[in-house]
Amino acid sequence: MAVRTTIEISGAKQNNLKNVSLEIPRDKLTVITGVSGSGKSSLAFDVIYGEGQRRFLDSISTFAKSRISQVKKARVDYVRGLSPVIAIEQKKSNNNPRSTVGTVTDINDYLRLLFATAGTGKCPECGHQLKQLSAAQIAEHASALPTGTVIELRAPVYKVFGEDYNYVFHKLREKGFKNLLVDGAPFSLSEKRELDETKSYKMELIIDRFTLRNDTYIQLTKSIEAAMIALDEDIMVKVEVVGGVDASFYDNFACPEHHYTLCEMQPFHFSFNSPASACHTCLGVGMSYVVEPRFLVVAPGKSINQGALKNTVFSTSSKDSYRTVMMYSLSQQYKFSLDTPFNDLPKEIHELLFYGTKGEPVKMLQPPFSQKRNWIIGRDRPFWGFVNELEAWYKNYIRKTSTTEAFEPNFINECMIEKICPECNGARLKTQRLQITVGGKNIDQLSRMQLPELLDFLTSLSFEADIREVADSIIREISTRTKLLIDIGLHYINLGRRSDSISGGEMQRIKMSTQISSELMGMLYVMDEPSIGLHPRDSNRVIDTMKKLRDLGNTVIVVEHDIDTIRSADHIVEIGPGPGVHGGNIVASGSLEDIMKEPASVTGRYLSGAAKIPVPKKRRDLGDTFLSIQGARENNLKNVDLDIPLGVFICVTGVSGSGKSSLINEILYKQLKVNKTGARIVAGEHDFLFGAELINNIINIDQAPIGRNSKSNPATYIGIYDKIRELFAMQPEAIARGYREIDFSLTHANGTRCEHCSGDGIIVTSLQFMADIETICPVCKGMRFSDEGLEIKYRGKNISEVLDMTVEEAADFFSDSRYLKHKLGIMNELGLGYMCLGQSSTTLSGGEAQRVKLAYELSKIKKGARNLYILDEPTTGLHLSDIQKLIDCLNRLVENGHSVLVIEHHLDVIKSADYIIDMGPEGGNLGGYVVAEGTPEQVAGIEASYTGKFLRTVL
Amino acid sequence: MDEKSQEILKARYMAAVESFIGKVRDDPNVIAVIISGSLAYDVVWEKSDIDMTVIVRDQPLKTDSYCIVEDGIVINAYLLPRSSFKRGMEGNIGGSFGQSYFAKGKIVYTTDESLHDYFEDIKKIGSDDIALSLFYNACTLVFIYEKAQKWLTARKDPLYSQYFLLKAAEVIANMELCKAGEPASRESIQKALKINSQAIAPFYKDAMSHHLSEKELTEAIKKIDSYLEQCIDVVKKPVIEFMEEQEIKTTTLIAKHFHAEGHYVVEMFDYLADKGVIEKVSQTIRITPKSKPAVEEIGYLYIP
Repeated sequence: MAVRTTIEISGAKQNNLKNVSLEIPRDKLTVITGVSGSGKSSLAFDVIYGEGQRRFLDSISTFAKSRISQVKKARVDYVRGLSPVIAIEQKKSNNNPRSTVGTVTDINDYLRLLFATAGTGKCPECGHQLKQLSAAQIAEHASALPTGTVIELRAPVYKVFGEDYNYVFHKLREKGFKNLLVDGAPFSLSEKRELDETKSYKMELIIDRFTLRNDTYIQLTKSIEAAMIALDEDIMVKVEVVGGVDASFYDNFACPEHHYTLCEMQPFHFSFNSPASACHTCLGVGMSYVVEPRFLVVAPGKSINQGALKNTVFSTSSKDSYRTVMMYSLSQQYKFSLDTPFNDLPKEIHELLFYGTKGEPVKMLQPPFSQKRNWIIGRDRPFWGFVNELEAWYKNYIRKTSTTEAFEPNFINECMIEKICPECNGARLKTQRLQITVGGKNIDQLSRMQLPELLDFLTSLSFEADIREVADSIIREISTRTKLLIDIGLHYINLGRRSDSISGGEMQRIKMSTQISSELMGMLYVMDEPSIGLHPRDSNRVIDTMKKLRDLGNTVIVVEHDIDTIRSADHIVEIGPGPGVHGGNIVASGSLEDIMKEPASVTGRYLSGAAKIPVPKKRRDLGDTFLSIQGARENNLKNVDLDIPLGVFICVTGVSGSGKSSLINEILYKQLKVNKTGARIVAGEHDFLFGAELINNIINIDQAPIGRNSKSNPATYIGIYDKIRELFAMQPEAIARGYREIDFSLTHANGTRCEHCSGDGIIVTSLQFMADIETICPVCKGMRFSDEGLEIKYRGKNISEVLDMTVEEAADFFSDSRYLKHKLGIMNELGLGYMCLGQSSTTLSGGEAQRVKLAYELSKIKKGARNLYILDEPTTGLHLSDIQKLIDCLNRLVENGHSVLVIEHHLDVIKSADYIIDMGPEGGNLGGYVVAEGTPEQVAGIEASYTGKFLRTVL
Repeated sequence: MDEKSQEILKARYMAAVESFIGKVRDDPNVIAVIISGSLAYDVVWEKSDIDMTVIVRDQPLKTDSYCIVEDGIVINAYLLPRSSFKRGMEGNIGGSFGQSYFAKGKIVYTTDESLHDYFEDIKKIGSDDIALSLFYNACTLVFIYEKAQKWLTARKDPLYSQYFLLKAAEVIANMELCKAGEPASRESIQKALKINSQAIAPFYKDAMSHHLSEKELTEAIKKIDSYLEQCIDVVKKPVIEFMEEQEIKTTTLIAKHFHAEGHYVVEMFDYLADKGVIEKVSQTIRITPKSKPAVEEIGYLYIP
């Protein structure tokens, strides 16, 4: 039998696909393209990936199956020629602050292994280089001393950051250690001890004492191991011979002067996720939390008595508590009223409440509203302030002695802000671990190096003969992985970078590189727009990576709109011709030439140059209003001062990692949001932001889902569903039956929705180790409403039929209603005509969600308002033919007096802007400057600007 | 029992120990044998058993206690790996049960000479340990003090109130021994009578001589209070050390620090607050992570 060279799909009917059959070549790079909503993702992800995944999972045992969620069978007759399939999507990784580039790529595992095998330590006192020895080696060496010799095992003791000596001693005693040497003198923890907190002492713990005999060796080994574990996985031990010993005893064994030996290390000794190795203050997150006073005030317009403060801070309900007495007494002593709105209290009183009386005692007075006499009345108490008190709580939380559930992660999220951990400075590990180095650098220093620097460093290392083979093989693994990340254009990141700070596109590229490093062949990779978030300068790198995957012997299928990627494909499939019901057919399939020759292909017209987005003839003049950011320093920004003109269409550009998001999302958006709405967020580091008064509101139209509820849909989001319900409730039959508007809501129980399926139209049955089965609701037959409800008709259609209409159809149907026609018309113009009114918002793509939001904003434009709209890569998921529509809509916002600021890499959008701010010149440390500002023509003239260079080709 | 019979009996018991040692001597896992209880420091009689700790090489043990028989005598043998033994000895607070158990024990066999040093070390009770041990005893004494009062005044049961005085006698005796740096034991009262008979008498000899009148009881209960007051300077030390940051410490926080139940320390801390050592306050808390309403938990504050 001949080897199958194609993937054969027959009768695909998933979503809007119209019984499609086609063949996709195996071991080739195939691009699936088409206008937005045409069915590309349905084909690539639901049919090809879904089927591949389902069949693969079918082959595993039922026991294993019961532990993983199962995949639904796609609506397709058959797919043949599938391989094990991996989807590399744009999903952002989890928000766990412990996840870093190093952990996601598994490079950290190798790095830890490298430190555990090749790491060298230093004597904590003189810095003498120490080689690691196992407990058995140490015991063996000591056992060579004559019988009867007394040896003492000791370990260094360090003061814990932010704690006093008592805390350290209390913890040691709890672990079962009583005897120390402080500056060489015996010191018992059972005796009264007085150490000066401001001084530092040389402290040594006496772990154990042995009188050597022939058979001590085994117990000695065990004792060292047990002590190291008891001391939170310590790695430093000292063998002291009572009565002294010949200096040669310490040769090749320990520091000749201070006798410290480094114990054998394990990879977990360098894992910030291991509690014994993590920094004591931040527990391995690298960030610590401080209370933000602003967040303690939940209702600044209310008075303290009305509940201005968070109730964990000050509860208005308890009338007799100590807190109430204190608050009343403070108000009497410092002459302020608890009934004045919090905002109207003088600044000194805010300071007093947050930071206390600085030791000044407060006379406790009986509040007149209190029914009971508090035991504290008449006494004097100092007040330390809410911020100080809460931070003390936080310390207890860190110490794991927290006494109240009030201080749980929720509270931290609500009232505290992150700052770099003051103990480890973001290194995440405890100091003892950072003393271990490879080639003179500790693991944190390596994690902070940008990848090319890390690669150079690692490849320059050389090791002693005994560990050379192991160390070299570990370095080889790290180097391969690092090189792949660099090749794919991620040269500006470092391994310590937190996953939640990298974009979906970057994460996708990281995953691609991990796949390549697996060197598997015969796989099928399905990818979603890998060009997103990439500057034109770097788009080749991703194309090269995909080719590399293909050349390893894999099949690569990419859903993509980027012209360069399409040109590089071996095979192109265009789905269309239009979106939604107008799509779902194969318009063209074949090589680049085939597509260009196909008259029905929209993509072909753009490829051949027959269609293109025109350069605007005239740019808008800049007005005299500006937003001005001064001293922006967030992430890699280099103290940037920048003026952003208002009332125009601005594009912020720059290579990945150049600081665009830091500047716009972290500083500009967040600070304006705080200024305009008092939002409970903290903007990125900067000095000032001027000009906030020049805009009415700041609106970020991002790609986050518009709702997580399966009952939220475009109609409810845009707000037209209220009007539709109103129309139905006004029908004579509805009035006769007494239906109200709310009875037509899908979320309202006991209305007209089907109560069997709660308005979902489907019933989900969980089948243990088989995929959950969704069946059409037997009661409403998928109509989502009860028969009674469906009897109400508006112009011959019932409510269910209306929800099944596409935006396009609905615009026609509701042409009588100016309101509905206007809103639906805008959605149509944005290319959302194919979308059903009742389509669950959970099924919308990020790009679609963004456009629904944009439509919502466009539909409520009011004359006279001046808003600033921020959009991050709005071209995601947009076909070239849809981009023109997007640009038109953005221009419409500007023409109505608003300002639009877009972060974008798409040259067609960039060239259409009035003003460009180009960041760079490179990513990472070499970025963070504004390289060029001005009209596209001006930026094109600037040599240093990469964006300028590419603009020259399109202007 | 006359002296001679005691000597004969003790020799028989020691022979049983020796016989056991003879059997484990060749076992490299056994590092030391320690005896405690009557055989180590007191008089034995026919019904005595032998309390024995066998120190073994570090290893996981599924069973750590056996009842062994030698010459018809029961040996209650507890096995302890060396590292656990060593850390247990150092971790035990002087004056606690664990410390007194070993302090009155004897090493009868060892292959590890260093253990003798540890054994000597455990007999010493440091000044901080004395304070902490007195604190724990004082917690119990405050409890007894309040109960004696309650049965006298609220329950109107003088005899039962008198019974609490007897309980107080043992605690005060332990505290007297602790102050003298001696471990507590079941003979505490007898020993303490020799050290400070005045402190013990009202609760022991007087309390057992006759049914006390209400007036006598009131007097005796007052004496518990004055005894506590005499000790307060030492007892407050561990409390102040823990509270010197001058932040509110809630009862759960205090209980965690002192490894005790919240209600156990509350009475003591209330007593210290009554005496003006610390101040009683409260702290707003929520009892589950999802609780919206706030409640007040008792807390204490130290203001120097």
